[in-house]
Amino acid sequence: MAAEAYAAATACFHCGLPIPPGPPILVEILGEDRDMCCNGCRAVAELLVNQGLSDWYTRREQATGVPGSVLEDLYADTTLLDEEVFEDEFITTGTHDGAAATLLVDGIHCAACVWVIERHLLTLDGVHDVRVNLATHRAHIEWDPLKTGLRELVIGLATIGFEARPDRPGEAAAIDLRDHRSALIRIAVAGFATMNVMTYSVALYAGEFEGMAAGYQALMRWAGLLVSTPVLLYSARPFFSAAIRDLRLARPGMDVPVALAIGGAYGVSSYATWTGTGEVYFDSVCMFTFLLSVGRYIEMRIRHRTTSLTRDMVDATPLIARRENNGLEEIVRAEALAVGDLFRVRPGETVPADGFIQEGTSSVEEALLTGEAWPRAIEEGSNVIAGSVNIESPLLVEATRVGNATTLARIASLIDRAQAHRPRVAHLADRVATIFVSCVLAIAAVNAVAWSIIDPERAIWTTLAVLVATCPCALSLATPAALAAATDGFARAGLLITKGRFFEKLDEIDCFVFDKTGTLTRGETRVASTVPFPGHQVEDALEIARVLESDSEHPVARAFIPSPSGRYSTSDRAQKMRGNHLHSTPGSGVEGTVDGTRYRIGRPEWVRGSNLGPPLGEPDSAHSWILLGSEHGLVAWFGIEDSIREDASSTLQELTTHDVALELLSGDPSQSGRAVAQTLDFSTARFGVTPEGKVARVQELQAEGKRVAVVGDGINDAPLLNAADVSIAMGSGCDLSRLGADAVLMHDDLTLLPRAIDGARRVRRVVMQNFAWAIGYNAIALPLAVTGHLSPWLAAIGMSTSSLVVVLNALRLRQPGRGGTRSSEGRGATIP
Amino acid sequence: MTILIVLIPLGLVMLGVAIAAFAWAASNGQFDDLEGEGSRILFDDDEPARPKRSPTDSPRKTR
Repeated sequence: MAAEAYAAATACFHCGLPIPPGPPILVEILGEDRDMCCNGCRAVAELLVNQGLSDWYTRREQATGVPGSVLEDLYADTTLLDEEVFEDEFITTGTHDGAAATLLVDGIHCAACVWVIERHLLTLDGVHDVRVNLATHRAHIEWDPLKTGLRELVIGLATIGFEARPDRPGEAAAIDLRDHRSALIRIAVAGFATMNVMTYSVALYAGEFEGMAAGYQALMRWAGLLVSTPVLLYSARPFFSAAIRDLRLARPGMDVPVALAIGGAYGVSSYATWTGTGEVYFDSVCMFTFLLSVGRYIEMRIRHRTTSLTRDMVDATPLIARRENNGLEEIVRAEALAVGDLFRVRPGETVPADGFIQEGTSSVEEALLTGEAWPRAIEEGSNVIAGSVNIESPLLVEATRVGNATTLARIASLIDRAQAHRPRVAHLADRVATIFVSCVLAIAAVNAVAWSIIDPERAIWTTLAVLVATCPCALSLATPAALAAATDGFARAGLLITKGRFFEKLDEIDCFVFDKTGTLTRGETRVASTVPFPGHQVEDALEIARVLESDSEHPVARAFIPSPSGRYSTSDRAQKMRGNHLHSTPGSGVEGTVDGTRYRIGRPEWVRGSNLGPPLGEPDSAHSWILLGSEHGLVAWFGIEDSIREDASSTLQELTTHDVALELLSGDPSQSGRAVAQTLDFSTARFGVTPEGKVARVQELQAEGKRVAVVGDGINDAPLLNAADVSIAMGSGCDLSRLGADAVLMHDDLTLLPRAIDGARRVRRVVMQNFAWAIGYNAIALPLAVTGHLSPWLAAIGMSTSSLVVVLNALRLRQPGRGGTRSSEGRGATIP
Repeated sequence: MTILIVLIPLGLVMLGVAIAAFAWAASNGQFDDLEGEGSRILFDDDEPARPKRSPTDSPRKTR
């Protein structure tokens, strides 16, 4: 709370964006006047307060309301929701005899968002029931179709700042859900069984000492057999199928000894139960399966979280298409398009299928696919791909690939496959396991031969004791438990780790390379200063610049447009009416006519063009300066600033204490880049580096034997991220290229970087401790088992304790480090 | 100790009931969202949609 109140002076209390200069916009929330960045945010905030929902501000974890200025866009997008095609596909019959639908809601960050969405929608007329799932960002809504409709619901969500679209239930998501549920049931079966079998085992062990009637002993054993059978057949099935797959591929991993131990212990115990001889190990079977299933479950949850994020992103392809039918436009589901169909795409809409342009000249933004934010110019005959956004003028497109054949859909399925087949986390453990299991088998064989010479009757029991006592439980849990606990801890804090070897590799990093724009800076440019030439007004100059830049997606252009989404809002479109012949020259600037006068805005040399006079000095060196000039003369200088993230400086200082070198690679050649490097105290910094140059520099560092971690915003750093040993992408970059990264900073919180290094070191320490413990346990248990001194209760206690110690030791990693200001108090005070 | 002959099968029946109940709950989506539901109990204390809340009665608890 306190931190948010302080931050209110510089950042919007509602959305967290910087507050532009000018008269303050205030809303009274929770008894205090809070600063807002724009009237849109004020409207949202006042709505929340008036509905008695202002508690959202105390309950949310970050100041991350969707900026009010984006809302206009949202309203414009919803007009199509009334179309009938939506009803067929998305609306089902609810339990209250009404309509029901599932919406995918963007911008849900914490439980407070769940609360505010449910509360707000229930106040709408006709809404029966709302259930929001925080994990999947989906809201299930049931309503009375006579009183309200899908469009009203989406608008209702938009008024409180959440963007929603109807959810197209995908096959992959359904498989994830089924996996999740069956994994839970497997754990439950193993867990409940363990509790029961333990009671029988305690009785049996007590019977060893106190004596026990043979009949009761048999009863306990049969009960144990009965309870462990579903554990073996149901809960442990994934281990057996994985072991069989490993053996087929001739690459025995940890699953082989695991399956061997579970299967062996169960087989021996049931034989002993059947014949009434020897020892039973049912408790080991159940407990071992339970602990391992829990470990696998945590691993699976993390994998699902990463894949569902990517899936939601790819789902951005539009749901409907405007098909051209004998000169008439009809609205159909995107899936209904066939190859050869003609369809229209209006400006601002997303292309529903791959195709080539039949008619029209425009530009498309393909950031989702290429990561390039700059729009690509297209004309008749050019190809467009599904998922790209049409920017300028209407297009008529002939479909060449539709549905699951589009480039985007194929990329999505590639991602799914890559994630499903990604190597399991336990590399070291797998190597150890292969050696370990061969050793155990060899020792067991030698043991069997030796005992059959000494005492043939005890041979089989001692051999089985060797197999069970040296059960690889602790060993196989050593690494995965530690990694799962640490990954989960960091995922909660906002660092999503997508590759299993992240910690292993991060621990060896010598050098951190940072990108500037969007990583160390916010990537949200703003006009920090305007210096008009004599005879011109600041407001007029800004207005002209806004009109000229309204067409451009360049970061500099966004400085003039108050919409942080970088898309057009209706007001910008209205302004564009007054600007004609807008034409941008990449790398230089924009040219166009505003109210009959030709203007140029951009790099000073380009704006002045042939009108060469004495070179102009820029007003100062604190900003990057761009020039606005007309055919009549120069109009104004604009100083563009990209503010540095609050946490950048402290993060970098902390990183230097972790023995890593820091380097800045910036594509920006301007003065402001140098200013950033100076403020942040970089010893090595390069400016104006091309993407290829960045990759070359990383490879140069690697050739020097250094291990390089790259932190980038993922938008234009994809090749760079791929070249690095460890790559970390900023979560705000919303495109496919960030999927290549080893980890994603979900809330752009840089302070997690030093904590991740600490985390990696702690993971290594914990894994080593676990290995030491597991190997130590086996070193003691094995001789005892071989010499026939290990009774089953001792073996079971030893095995359980060794596994539990390993798991508990690993669970210490769920606290992702005692980092900075964010203590156990939680993330409530975070300023994004 | 003959009671064990009754108690152990009884325990097994209860085990079966427990597993069946859990499996039913899991397959009906009771465990689909393990993050948000934990906080829900804190929210339900408040009245829904009350017009204009005075600053003094706004609960200061976080999350």
